[in-house]
Amino acid sequence: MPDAAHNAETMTVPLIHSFSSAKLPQAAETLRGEIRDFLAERLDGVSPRTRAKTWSGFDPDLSRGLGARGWLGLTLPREYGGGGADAFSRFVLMEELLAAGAPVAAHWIGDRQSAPLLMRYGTEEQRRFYLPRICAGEIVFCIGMSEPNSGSDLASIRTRATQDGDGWRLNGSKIWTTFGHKSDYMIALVRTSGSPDDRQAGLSQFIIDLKLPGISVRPIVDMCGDAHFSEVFFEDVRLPADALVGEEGQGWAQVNAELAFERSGPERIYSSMVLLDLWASHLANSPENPCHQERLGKLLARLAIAREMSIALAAKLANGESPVNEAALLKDLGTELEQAIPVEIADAVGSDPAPVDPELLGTLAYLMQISASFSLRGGTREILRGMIARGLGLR
Amino acid sequence: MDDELLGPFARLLTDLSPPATVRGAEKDGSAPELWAAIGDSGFLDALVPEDSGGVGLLPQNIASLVIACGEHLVPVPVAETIVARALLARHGADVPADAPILLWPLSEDGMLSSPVAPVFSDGCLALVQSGNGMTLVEAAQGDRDGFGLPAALIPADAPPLAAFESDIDLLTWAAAITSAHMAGAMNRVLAMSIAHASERNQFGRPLSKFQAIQHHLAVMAERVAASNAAAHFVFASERLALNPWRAAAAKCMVNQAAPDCCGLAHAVHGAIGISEEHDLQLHTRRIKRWQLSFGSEAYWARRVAASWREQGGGTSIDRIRRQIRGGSADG
Repeated sequence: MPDAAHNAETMTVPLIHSFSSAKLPQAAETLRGEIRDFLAERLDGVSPRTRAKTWSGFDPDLSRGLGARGWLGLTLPREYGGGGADAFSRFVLMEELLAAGAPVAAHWIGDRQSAPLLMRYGTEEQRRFYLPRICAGEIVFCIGMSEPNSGSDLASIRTRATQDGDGWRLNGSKIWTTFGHKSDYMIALVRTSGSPDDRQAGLSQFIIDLKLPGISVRPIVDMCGDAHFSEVFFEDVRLPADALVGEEGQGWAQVNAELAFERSGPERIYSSMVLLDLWASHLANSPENPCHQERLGKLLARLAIAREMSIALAAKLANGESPVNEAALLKDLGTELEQAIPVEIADAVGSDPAPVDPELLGTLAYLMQISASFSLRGGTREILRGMIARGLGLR
Repeated sequence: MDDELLGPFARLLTDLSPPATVRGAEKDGSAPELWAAIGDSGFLDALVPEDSGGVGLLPQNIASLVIACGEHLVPVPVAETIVARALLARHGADVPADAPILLWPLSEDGMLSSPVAPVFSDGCLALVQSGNGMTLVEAAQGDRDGFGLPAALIPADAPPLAAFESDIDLLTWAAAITSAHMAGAMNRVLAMSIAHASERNQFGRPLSKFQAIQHHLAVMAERVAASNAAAHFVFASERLALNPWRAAAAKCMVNQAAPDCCGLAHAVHGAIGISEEHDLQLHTRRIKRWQLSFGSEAYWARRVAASWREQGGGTSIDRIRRQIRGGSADG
């Protein structure tokens, strides 16, 4: 018998056993009703085509409304304006926002990444200054990671902050910055010492007030005609000393922790829900077609299990764990499902030459195009698979 | 399942259900030493209530046990017998002392609800369900099927050993058990693939250091993790009647995941994986047979999608939440 098979007798792969059933507590389900009522009122009359944008839908008024109800920074401590709730409640909030197709962009990054980052690495002063305003939906954050010559290879960034008196002087540029042109602040990863050859060493994070002199922002239009990302230029921008987040030189470790916040929620399975629901309701009101029913059922089965896995991750977060590799695994699986939904629906819709409801067609067209971004944003599929491989002990 | 129960059971399977035993049983359905040890262990009455002399576990407690059976390709129907004995005990029927029992749900036209029959096991009985009617009969060994396994059959003149009425759906149970077996076998397929990739050198370095291989294994891990989640999802019940929608979704999802898992495992192993003497094919061959057992992904997809033709309205998430409630641990 080959040795490999024999060794497998005693081998376990812990990563795959992290998703056994967990249950949403009653408190989270109670919150669900309140969120639904709020969204039903706010989104009344908004077309599916518009709701399908969710992540790219920018509506500061809705974000302030969520903040007024205590639903931004839901898991942050109350003393900083947060909700003091657990990861299960956050799961339900995210699930309801995305299922409804709420425009979440104005608070999305602040709520999901910037606030947890500041909570973990910020000074007490920074926490007290920024967190309550993020939780109120008053300030919009963006993330400065990618640069024109640095995409997934973040360690090669060239934007640089140099010591200048008490503070810092910033030069360089960031690109693909989500809603940089509508944000108040950016948390950027920049080089503070060494050169790109030093890779992860010498990187630091700064919180940058985008109204400072020397900053210019150019929106970038995407293939669907929307400008949800931008390029941000820094020319001799004077940053105060307290713009530094965490420790100088620790930017790499901090940014990885930040990306773990990004990946560890349920958000990464629900980007195509508005389209799925719109198509399914059309099917339900049409004569039964077994082929379409099979397509729908296969997607729903994958969705149901991905949701279970997401709740299992929420249980780990609620338990104080930080399931980084598990989150990468679920995100890759989830974005694959998000991308499969428009593929399957396009095949179904195109299988019949009869005219299609224009709203369905428009929503489908949007997702057929924008879904390419689902496995790019917040870490590409290839990066995630590398993380999973590390979790399997291969790296 | 509680770890203190799974540990001894897993050790029993490691000791008594090695690949050599699995290979032997593939020929004639016999694994007498294994079956005797499982009988002695008391696990066969896991779902029989304590006041009826059983262990008194709930389905949610035995998911890991059924997955472990799949990991070891246990060549005797442990999970099926556990369910059959619980049903027999509930209805006051005589429980045969030590016979393996297959689950045999019939469709409306009176045929087995599966194009491939359960695998024969020496001395096995079958619990046959037609509508609400349950009949316990002796099964016989049929021909070796296209997967090289001895399929069971029910002789036309098989006399009933017990008969009772029950609304517990055996097809739901059979789909749930098959899903968990597939998840377990996929666990082992992944572990074998990781081990092989770590030990096999090509182009001067281990296969596991090639990014293409790492990504194969990462995708496999996703399929395997989701399949295990599905197995726990369908067994998450406090009642003997499993939630049929959960079973439909689980088998539908696991069946979608299995071909990727098996295909990538064979890609990682190369030619040796399809050789008779290698254990990989022992697992993948069985997984492929299970894909055909008790409903394919399309079969169960139609059941899953029916939730969109039922009353109540709402989004897909609303419908999933509603469907998974009944009969489950979620109350």
